[in-house]
Amino acid sequence: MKKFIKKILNKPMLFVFLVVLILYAPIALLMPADTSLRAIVTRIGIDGSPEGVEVSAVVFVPTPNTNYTENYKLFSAEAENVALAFQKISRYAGKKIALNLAEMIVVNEEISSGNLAKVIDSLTRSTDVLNNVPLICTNESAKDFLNATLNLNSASDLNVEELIHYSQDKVYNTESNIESFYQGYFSPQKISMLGYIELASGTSGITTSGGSSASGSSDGGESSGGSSSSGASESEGQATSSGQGESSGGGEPQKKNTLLNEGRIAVYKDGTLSVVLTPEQLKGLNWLNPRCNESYLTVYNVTDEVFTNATITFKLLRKKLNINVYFVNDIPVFEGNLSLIMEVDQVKQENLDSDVMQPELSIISPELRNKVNMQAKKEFKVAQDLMIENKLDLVHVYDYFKAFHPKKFERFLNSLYDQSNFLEGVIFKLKITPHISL
Amino acid sequence: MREDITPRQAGIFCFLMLFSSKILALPSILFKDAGYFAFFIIVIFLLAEIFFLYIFIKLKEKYINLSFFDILSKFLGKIVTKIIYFLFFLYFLIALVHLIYDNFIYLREAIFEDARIERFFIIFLPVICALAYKGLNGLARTAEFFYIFIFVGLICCLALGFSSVQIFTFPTFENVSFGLTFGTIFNYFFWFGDFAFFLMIIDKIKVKNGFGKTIMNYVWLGFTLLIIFYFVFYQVYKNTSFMHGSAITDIIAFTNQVGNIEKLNLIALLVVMFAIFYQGGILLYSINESFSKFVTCTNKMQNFVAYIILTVITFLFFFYASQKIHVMLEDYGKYLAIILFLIIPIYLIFQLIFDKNNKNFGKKVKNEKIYKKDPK
Repeated sequence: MKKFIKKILNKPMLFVFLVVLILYAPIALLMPADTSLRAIVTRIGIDGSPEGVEVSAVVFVPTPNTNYTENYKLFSAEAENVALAFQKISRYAGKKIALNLAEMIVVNEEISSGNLAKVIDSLTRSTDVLNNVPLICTNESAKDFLNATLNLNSASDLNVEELIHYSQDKVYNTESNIESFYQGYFSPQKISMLGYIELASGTSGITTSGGSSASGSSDGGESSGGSSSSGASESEGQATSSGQGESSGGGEPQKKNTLLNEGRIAVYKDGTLSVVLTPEQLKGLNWLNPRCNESYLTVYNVTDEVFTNATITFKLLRKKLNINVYFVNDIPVFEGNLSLIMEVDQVKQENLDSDVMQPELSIISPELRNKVNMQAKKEFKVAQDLMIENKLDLVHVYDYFKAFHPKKFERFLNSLYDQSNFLEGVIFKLKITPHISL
Repeated sequence: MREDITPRQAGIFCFLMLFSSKILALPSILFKDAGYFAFFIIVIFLLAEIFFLYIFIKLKEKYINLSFFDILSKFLGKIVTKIIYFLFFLYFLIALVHLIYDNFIYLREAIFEDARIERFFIIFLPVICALAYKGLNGLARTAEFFYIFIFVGLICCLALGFSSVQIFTFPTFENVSFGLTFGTIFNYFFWFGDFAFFLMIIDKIKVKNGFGKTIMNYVWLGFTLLIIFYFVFYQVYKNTSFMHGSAITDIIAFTNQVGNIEKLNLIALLVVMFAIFYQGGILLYSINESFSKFVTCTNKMQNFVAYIILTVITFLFFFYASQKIHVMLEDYGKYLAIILFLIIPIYLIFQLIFDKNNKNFGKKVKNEKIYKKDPK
């Protein structure tokens, strides 16, 4: 024993190691599982309420089962702000809230009509919530939205997070998360865009058995790994089940349990919801979005050597966008030069012949080129009118001119009566060169 | 105990010290003050640092075997030199405290938010003490071994960060002026004394053909990586760059190149964890070298214990004080930095240019032994 102690004292690092082991090993071995100390929040919803905000949190509850499904419970609390609401939820759940694994944040239109930046301020300051967590807006209450997602509890099932990731890449062609919201909020024009997923009734979209209450035909509770059905009506601070609502007589409104991604996007100006773009408006806007590479374009009444009064749908495979900004007689011109690679996806014509079925379109006819140009400009015009009407610079006109012609642009702005309406004085040009993919 | 190191090892030290405290909070703090112009400020700072390192290398070439203490003593006298060494000691002490502070906050956020500072000290202090106490050679050889992991980790972070940039935009420089630029440079002077340690080990670098070139190669490599890092960070975050206090982790947060794997911050974490041990070891060694010049102790261990206690006390003072260390560095640290990293290097430049008397230099001068016992 003496030899052993002497050996350790001769090697200081060994001595330090032993001290650390003795101090911390018992604590580490006896420490309970983190899931018994922390409530793992996977989804967050924020609504407005008379008190201030109502925060709903979908909490993962580890439960052994053989169905490969996960168990979630929905907690909600009203408070003055999000931080206090989470404190309340902690009390109700009896665990410390852990936001590290939050995969989605939903806000509704009502809370968005105030300054959303102030509402989600607590989430930004928290080091647990990463700024790349998707943030979306919905039409109904966020709580009902989260209620509808409770049954999407299998890893192989459709889920909202994948829907949002897909939409960011293929539909909105822009990020929809906390970081992108703040990047827009702190930009000179203070414009942010968030994805918009509706909670609707019907069968288009992802239909669940959850959703808003008020249906006579409730599901009677799912037991296999889904959320436990308690049959309780929703009340503050209590865990709620999915799909359970108060049953009432006939004539009640249809249950909204479908997550519908129509391709709409919510535009915020200075943190406040300004307008929700329709899919057509978004499509028009995406002509000048360098991230948008996949899209469809339909041209009508095409008559040339191959087609006769045909309606042709093209699939846009690749797009090369070059933005030029310049002044002509002190008038700013915002020009987008687009080179499109497309392929024919669908032809609708009265009589189909072999030429139409296998069109040799290596060289596009002038008529077809013209139609493509006109259709794209028509689609962009919809977005342009929206931008001017709502004074929203959604294609970064301001940033381009400030970067490349700062002094001239400053002079132009100073010459305007209302600087916020500067888009009215800008000329937009779109030059499109379509190519057909062979 | 062998204390000499090769030029390659010295170059690796310079590379590691270049990243000290620059890849966590500094990008966001600089952006808050100077906007996109922060990128150019960092370039100016790094080029100035590299220029002064070049002066130090020239100093080494001229006074091959003399320590910095001996060089200064010859021209300024022992008393002034001891005062300067005291200032260097203060600088290294505060730099080490700053390193511990920044990295503790980062590691606590990244790994275990309930961790207390004692736990961090238990992990960090014994390692850097061992690295510094065992001598420069041991520290250099260990750094040489782990350098490749740190380098590869940095490259991975940069590659992932690069893939996070959706669109490269030309930034708009609003409200930029010379006053703002120089004011920001003045305020952040303390952050850029990375090569001060070089003066402490100047006599311990083996002189070989092209030793200066070897060292500068590593420095230019570090400079390039750091500039790319700042460029990528400001391109990924743009207007919200001021919100991200853990730059090296945050630049890989948005990458979509690896599918839905979200928690890639492990790479950044490992880079930082490896790097801080060597940065801490180098700073602690420099503290030892500077401390031993103006304080005489009976043995090396006494010396060691004295400044370890001082480091811990200084750190705890800042940690529990109401004023954050960054604010302290901006308000007061800059004056210390200006004396050490502007006035003294300028003096050294004049020394190099005007001192023509080379007769006695180049001969091996016996260093003053302050320990009664052999340091081993």
